[in-house]
Amino acid sequence: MIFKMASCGGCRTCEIACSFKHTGEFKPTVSSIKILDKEDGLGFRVCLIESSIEKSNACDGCVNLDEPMCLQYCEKREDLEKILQDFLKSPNQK
Amino acid sequence: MAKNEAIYAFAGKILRVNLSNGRISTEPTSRYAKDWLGSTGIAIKMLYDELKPWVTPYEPGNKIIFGAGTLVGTTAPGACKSSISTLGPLTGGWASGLSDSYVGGELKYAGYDIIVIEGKAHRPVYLWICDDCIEIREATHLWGKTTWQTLDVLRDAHNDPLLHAASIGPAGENLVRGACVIQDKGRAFGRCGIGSVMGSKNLKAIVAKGTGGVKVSNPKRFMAAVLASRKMFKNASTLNGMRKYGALAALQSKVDVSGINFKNFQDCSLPDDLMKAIDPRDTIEKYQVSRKSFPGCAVGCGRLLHITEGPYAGLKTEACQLEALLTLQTRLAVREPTFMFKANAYCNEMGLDIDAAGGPIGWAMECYQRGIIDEKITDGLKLEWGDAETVLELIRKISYREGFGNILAEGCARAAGIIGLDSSYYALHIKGQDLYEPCRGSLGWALGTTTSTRGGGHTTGAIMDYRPFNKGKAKQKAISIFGVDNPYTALEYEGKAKMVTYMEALHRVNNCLGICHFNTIHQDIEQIDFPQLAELYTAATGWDTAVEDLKWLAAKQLNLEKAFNLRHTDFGRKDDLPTQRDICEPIPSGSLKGWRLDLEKYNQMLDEYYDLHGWDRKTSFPKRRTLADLGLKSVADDLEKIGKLG
Repeated sequence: MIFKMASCGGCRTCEIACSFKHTGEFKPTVSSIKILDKEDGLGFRVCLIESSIEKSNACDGCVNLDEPMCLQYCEKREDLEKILQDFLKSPNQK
Repeated sequence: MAKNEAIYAFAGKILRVNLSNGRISTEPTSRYAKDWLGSTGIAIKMLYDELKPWVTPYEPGNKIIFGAGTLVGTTAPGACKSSISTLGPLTGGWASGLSDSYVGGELKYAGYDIIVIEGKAHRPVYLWICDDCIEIREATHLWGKTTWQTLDVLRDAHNDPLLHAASIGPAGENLVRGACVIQDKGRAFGRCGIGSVMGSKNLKAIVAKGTGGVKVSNPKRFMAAVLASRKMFKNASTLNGMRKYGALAALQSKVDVSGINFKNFQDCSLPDDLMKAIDPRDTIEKYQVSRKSFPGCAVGCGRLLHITEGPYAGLKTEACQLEALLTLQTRLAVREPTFMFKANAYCNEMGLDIDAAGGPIGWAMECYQRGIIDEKITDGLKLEWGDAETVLELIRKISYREGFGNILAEGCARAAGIIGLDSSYYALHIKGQDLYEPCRGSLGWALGTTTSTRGGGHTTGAIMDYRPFNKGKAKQKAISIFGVDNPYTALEYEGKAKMVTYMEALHRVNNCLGICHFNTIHQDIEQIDFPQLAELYTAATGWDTAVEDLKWLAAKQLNLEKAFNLRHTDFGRKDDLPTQRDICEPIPSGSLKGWRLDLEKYNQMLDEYYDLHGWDRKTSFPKRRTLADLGLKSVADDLEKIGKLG
């Protein structure tokens, strides 16, 4: 599921942190969050994985943690948190 | 370390690629990891050991070493730096440039820490690295293309919009001495002319893609160290400015210490109307469309801009660093506020380092102003200050070594040698490397810049001693860090040698670990420093490493860089002094009007600096005892043989 996030700077630290949660190592290919370039100009989009495909793990919102890994490392935490909540509330996640 | 000991944080392998015979091999990083920290530390060790003293920069015998920092690939603050090191064509000695880079992270995920590139390809090639698949691929179709076009073609060809490349442009292909290597379309492995060495090997680009991971020794301790380090940033007073405008936010603090390069250093401050006209904060607010940051960064200094009006309408690029403003915009006295972004982007496309553009062009404009050169030499161009179109044309001519550009492509020091007629006074360089850094008005900045082993440059020892950290709690903290009474006092000679020695070590540790300087006390006294780096490194590698250990390893690296230079060049004490202009001319205007560098005191500062390093005051050469204490006895033997032991 792809979201617009105007404030994202594309650092991809969230991807690295997310992979740590899944595997205990830093391995962005397995992350549940992917940062994509915008299709039509400068800037970035956030992709959250709904169901595990290939190497990527589905995002479970880090239910077992006090705070999701991606949010711990995001400089625009509030914006990403909103996206994560929208994602977790979406019909496909129920 | 023991042969079968597990290695953490490092990917584990060094990739060696010989472009002459196509041979590709690997060796364990563990051969070097513990003794040389990583990236640039391993690079200087390999270059010192493997390059014969008679090798010259463009020979196939020269080698290029790409190094991903030890903490790159992890979440450590600012862990996004990779390095490219070689024997450089500007200084003839140690050359190393670092860039924020995705290529380095991908390289580690593919399983490699270092790439050693040897020999010379018979025709243009690029290096493709994807996990175990390492290929030297045909790049004839890429030769002649700009770095931006190269990335687009590579991404299209591999149908991968997230592919990352470090490539050279026309400047590197044409052996422009100051050519750089560009990561994707923005950040540069700058200065030192590394791009031209890639060009001399017919190597157009390095592309890396990895699907593996980076493991740390003690994950829990490491993640705790990362989060604790990131929390420190909330106290940094410069953070808001950095996040809004990047390094360009520091323009006013540069003005305050007459740190401006105006009309090729003829003045050190800006006319008020020009300052108002080019204020980068206004331009960024007007044209920014997105933030831009790199893996791990706790600052986020980048901005993506879309210029929608004026002469460069349509330009989409990343905002430049302060260096581009000072070396291209104010140095050349251009009024158009978007020019810095255009010129920076154009240099990036061409793969030309911005100082290798601003330096020679500034020198040429001053020579033209003084009647030393005229249109007969400049291909008919009138080199008037502020003429933006002429500057862009000169960047093009330099990149293609066309006409007068062929002279400028040599860098200002050599160009002045070609033109003669006392023009060398206006060629401001250190050890042959074009200088953008004014060395009047800020003595810690000047000392670090002039003693830099890679030629002029402020990222291997200079301290921004003009920053506002000389009061209250910040001052107390600075005193405890540097061990000097008055740390942030730009015009005091006292204590600067000690501060520069500290920063030399910090910068080297940053470079080895892949940590961006802007995440450390280089930028703000409240950000991360040796204790945090030692903790991150220890938790990541599992090797118990104290602050003093890091400093010792950095000193060892610095001494080997010094020895490398002594083997390949004739540098001595004279090359560690500021330029004649900085020595002879007082600051002409601004808040420090009339201040003049005191050469006697500067020399005393240099004596103190050499004493702190265990280097001979007269020659600047390291003493045997110094090298022996750092485990470099054989290096002392080498230097003794060539009469360069202090």
